[in-house]
Amino acid sequence: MPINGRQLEVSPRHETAVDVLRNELGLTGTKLVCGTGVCGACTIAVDGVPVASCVLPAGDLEAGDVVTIEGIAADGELHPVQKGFLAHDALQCGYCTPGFVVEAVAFYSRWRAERGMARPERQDIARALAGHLCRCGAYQGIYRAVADACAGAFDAGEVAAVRPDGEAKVTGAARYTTDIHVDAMVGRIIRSEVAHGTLVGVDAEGALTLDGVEAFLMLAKPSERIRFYGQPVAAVVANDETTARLAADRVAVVIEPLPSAVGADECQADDAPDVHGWWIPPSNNEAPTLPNVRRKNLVGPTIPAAPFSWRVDRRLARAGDDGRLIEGRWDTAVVSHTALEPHAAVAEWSPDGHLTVHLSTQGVGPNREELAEQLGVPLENVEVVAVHVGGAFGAKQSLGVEAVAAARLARLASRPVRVVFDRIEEMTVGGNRPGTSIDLAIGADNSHRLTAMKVRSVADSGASAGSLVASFLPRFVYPGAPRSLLDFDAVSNAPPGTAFRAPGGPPALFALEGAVEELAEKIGVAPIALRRSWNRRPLRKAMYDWVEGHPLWSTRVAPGGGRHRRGVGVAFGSWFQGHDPTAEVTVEAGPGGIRVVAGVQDLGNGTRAMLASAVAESFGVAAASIDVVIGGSRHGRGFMSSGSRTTSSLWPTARAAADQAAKSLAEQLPAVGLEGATVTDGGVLHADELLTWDELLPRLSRVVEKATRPPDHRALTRLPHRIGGLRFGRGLPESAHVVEVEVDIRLGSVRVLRVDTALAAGKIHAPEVARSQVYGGVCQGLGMALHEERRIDRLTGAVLTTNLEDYRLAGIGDTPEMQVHFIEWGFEHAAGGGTGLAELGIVAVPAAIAGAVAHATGVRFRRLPILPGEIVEAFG
Amino acid sequence: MIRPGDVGEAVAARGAYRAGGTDLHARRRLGLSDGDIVDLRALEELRGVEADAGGARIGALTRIATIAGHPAVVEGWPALSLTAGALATPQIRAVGTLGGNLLQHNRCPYYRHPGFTCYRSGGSSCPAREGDHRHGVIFDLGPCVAPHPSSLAMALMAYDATAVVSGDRRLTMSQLLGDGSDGSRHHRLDEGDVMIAVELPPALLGERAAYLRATGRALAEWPIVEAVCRLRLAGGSTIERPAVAVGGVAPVPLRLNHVEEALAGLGAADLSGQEEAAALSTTEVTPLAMTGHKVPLLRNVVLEAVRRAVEGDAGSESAIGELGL
Repeated sequence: MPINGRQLEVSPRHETAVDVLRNELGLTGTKLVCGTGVCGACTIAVDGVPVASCVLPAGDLEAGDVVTIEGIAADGELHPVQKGFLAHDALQCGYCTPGFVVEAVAFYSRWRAERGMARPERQDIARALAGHLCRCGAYQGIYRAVADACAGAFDAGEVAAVRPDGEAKVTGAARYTTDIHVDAMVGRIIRSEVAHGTLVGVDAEGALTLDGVEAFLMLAKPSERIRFYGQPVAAVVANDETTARLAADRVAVVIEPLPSAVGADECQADDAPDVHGWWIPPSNNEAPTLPNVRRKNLVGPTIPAAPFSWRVDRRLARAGDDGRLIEGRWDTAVVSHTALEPHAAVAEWSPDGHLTVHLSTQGVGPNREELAEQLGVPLENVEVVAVHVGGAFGAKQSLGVEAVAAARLARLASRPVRVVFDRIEEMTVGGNRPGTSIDLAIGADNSHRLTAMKVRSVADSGASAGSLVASFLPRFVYPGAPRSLLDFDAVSNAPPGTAFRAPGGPPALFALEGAVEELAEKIGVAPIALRRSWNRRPLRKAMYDWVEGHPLWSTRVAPGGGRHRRGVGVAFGSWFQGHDPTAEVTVEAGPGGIRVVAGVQDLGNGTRAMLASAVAESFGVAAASIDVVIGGSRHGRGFMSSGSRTTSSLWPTARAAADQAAKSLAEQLPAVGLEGATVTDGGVLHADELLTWDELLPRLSRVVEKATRPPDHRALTRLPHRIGGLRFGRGLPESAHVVEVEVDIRLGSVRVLRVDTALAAGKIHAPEVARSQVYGGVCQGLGMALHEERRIDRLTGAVLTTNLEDYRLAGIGDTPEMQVHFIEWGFEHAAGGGTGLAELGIVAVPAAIAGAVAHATGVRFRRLPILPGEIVEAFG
Repeated sequence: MIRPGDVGEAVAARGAYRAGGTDLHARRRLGLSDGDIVDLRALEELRGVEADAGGARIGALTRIATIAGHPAVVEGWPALSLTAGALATPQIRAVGTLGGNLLQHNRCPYYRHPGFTCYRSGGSSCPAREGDHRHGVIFDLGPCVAPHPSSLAMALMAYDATAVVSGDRRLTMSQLLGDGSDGSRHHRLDEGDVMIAVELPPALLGERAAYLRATGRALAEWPIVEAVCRLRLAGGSTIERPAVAVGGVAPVPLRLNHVEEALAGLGAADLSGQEEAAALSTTEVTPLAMTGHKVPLLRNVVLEAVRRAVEGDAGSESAIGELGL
């Protein structure tokens, strides 16, 4: 078969093309994600036509001229489309990127043949790329990359890649956990197929007698309570995927069923069983769950009620009497993280007992410690590696069963073992943001001041707890007035919720910002003016000023009565800022160049680009010349990439390590004849001549300097000191969005035309990847607002949205035009002057979109997602 | 893997027929299909479009993208080409076939979930009826509540097209797919029945057509409700020979005869008449607990399809054939 221009002799053992490419030919640039031809990550070109190789008969590889991602730049010269992806930062985690690139290259060829150098419109690109999904939300860059490539911008010459790992990602060379040891033994997790029960026993006899089955182990304890469909029970390992699946099917799991309650309403019903008991559920937040008060399955409040809440009720009652009260219930659906790279681990033991686990994780360091503890292995014998991670969004923090199972099975089998969730597992137990039902009331006095706020959130948490919806953002964003903020978790027989980018934030602001808009309308005050009087912090004021100066907002007009109605909405968000004080970065510099090393990982958020920029700035050299080495626990003490802490923890630390390295290099200068030289910006000043480090390094000996995170100048906050290693810093970063939508009231569709964002997160150290983070936050927030909803069967507890057509991620055609405006002052007290923004970028997006839909339709939808059926029903 | 060399061998072979493989391989990966594959793709006589004044014959193995872009189909049977160009994604249209699209299995999440059995997978219940059926039918015609997934079947129904099956049998779309009363079947072909082609009657001179699907996302989503309308305007102003078919609402695609009767003879500018005709689409609905939202949507989608057909605006929002895919 001719693949990428080479004739290969293969008699396929697999049925579909993707399995042949990946497992027999080792062409792992082609990714298997949905397995049902929906997401496009496995796209290859056969005779120039892009096709989904996950549903393509293997025989078709012999029928035509096949080009995979590895064949696009086979001669070493990047295709203009690939250069466009690098220059416009059209990728984040990169897992969908090979599929997009193969498709876009085919589009480029057709476009050039038919339209020459014309620049394609967004619609042209959207239609051609409609069969691809990107969970990170890199679509804005993809539009620009493809359009510019078609128009000839990258036909010749080099481009400056935004990301140090960009080239590996656009060529398919980047190897993710799922791409390591594709020939390893395959471990498969056996899971509960009931929602609630007690494990009686497991009979593995039928599996262990199969040819090719190596070992079996229990993951649950005898008599363990099963609380959700999909709960791990046991695991098997076999020579290949088919045998492992067959073996798993033959393991008989006996569970004594108990009456179950699936979902928040069900578990609160009078006749619901006691799901919770004395068990302490895992956290769906980043703070650990603590033993808590429970009334049957309703657990909480997460944070104890404030005293004097009777004052709140009294004030709200008065506001109600005066007609200045808004109260109601806002609901949001459960949404699934849906990283395109599933949870995956590949474990290998060396003969001397050293364990290496490749793991798709947000924290190689913390996961290493947990793994060593769980396995009872000395920490120094364990290494966790995550060179590339195909998306996480909060769901790859705590050590997963895949890592433990792979390590234990590999020990039993004495061979490397891979455990990779299939898409059904990933969509079932791969993580979800709990749904919420938020009762909220706010009242104003006759001067329009906020008099009281009451928020009671019940999270649809499945088998988890600890939600912080009411008691987090509503505490801070409109300060002053007394408030009662209570969070409860309805613990039920559904898969546990997990921290998901800004846990609790988007639902809280959907309710709160929606209520503020409703109140402004009710009492006849301009909505920004009302907010101005409620939150006067300087950065907030800058947000209000930005929105009021935005032409979309200042010129917004009534939507009219036609079929297509345009509306403009705004919403404002805040988030905390903090850092990990133990963050550690090493900088090495010498004749071999400059290298920055840290025991952290890049989930697609741009950690590598950010580290390179910090070191490059210190030395005054090009960021592209910095070698960035991360993605393994051996690279130093690491921390979790979560809580928007990566940049705030690493940038000042890398900068400090680089400054120290420059200083110790400077100590060598007298010895090379540069007596009296002084270090300055961009190099060394000697005899009034500026010598760059690029010139000097070949003459000096290598230095290695390690730094830990310098402290903030003012570190006092009222927030608890540390959660999960995160130290909260002073001041709240702020966000604002101006959104324009068009609603088709007859077909119920909502098109988000534009989302402009202002962010105040201090100094933006790496603007391109920071922008990409915001674009991604907008795309994910758009999905929450309009499309995403995990559905579950209430009887069995089985998740129903197990594929990427039933679970609906926003596609390229749904992507609005976006702009990001950074306000860079306000965090001078923080080391480096900047904060993180990953969560800030999503937190107010659903609220702003809902506001725009309300403006367009005159209907305030109080449930997310706002689906076509609901819009059409509202108009009869 | 069995690779028959002609239709006779294919009829004799036992296993799961594979055309493009896009549905079959998705189901095999889910464990919903196993055993031998009977690969039909070498049967060249099942591939291609022939069209003349007497009608058109489209081979069952003809790819969806080919149908969407074939000049004779675009010219003579535009409701079919528009529908073909709007379904699924470019990658699927490039591989998926006419026969495979008509005979694909149900897309119900319960049917596709290995943890459930239902009427369609040999069980004796419909877990969606008692469970989550938000994407289900509003014409409750049988035990299974999932809508039929084939948009092409809906379009072909609007043309009174005929499926040609091995043994020289000719079936209408209703005969091919049944009436929804048998929940255990995705179609009415039996083991050993090979679809050969679809035959379309002569093109209607001056046909105006539109295809429309209501979806949440802009592109690449299964329709909540879909409709196709074809008609022509006598004297440029009077609706003549209208045909309306809808999908997403019943276990089989439906032809809406009563809507067609009401449309016939209406003026092109008679908006209220067209609105009344479209409203007839919902007179016989029997929505389920969670599918009520589809009722107004059906009426609106039908009306919009009629309006676009009358106005000669072929449904630009869904036409995806511009670049040849």
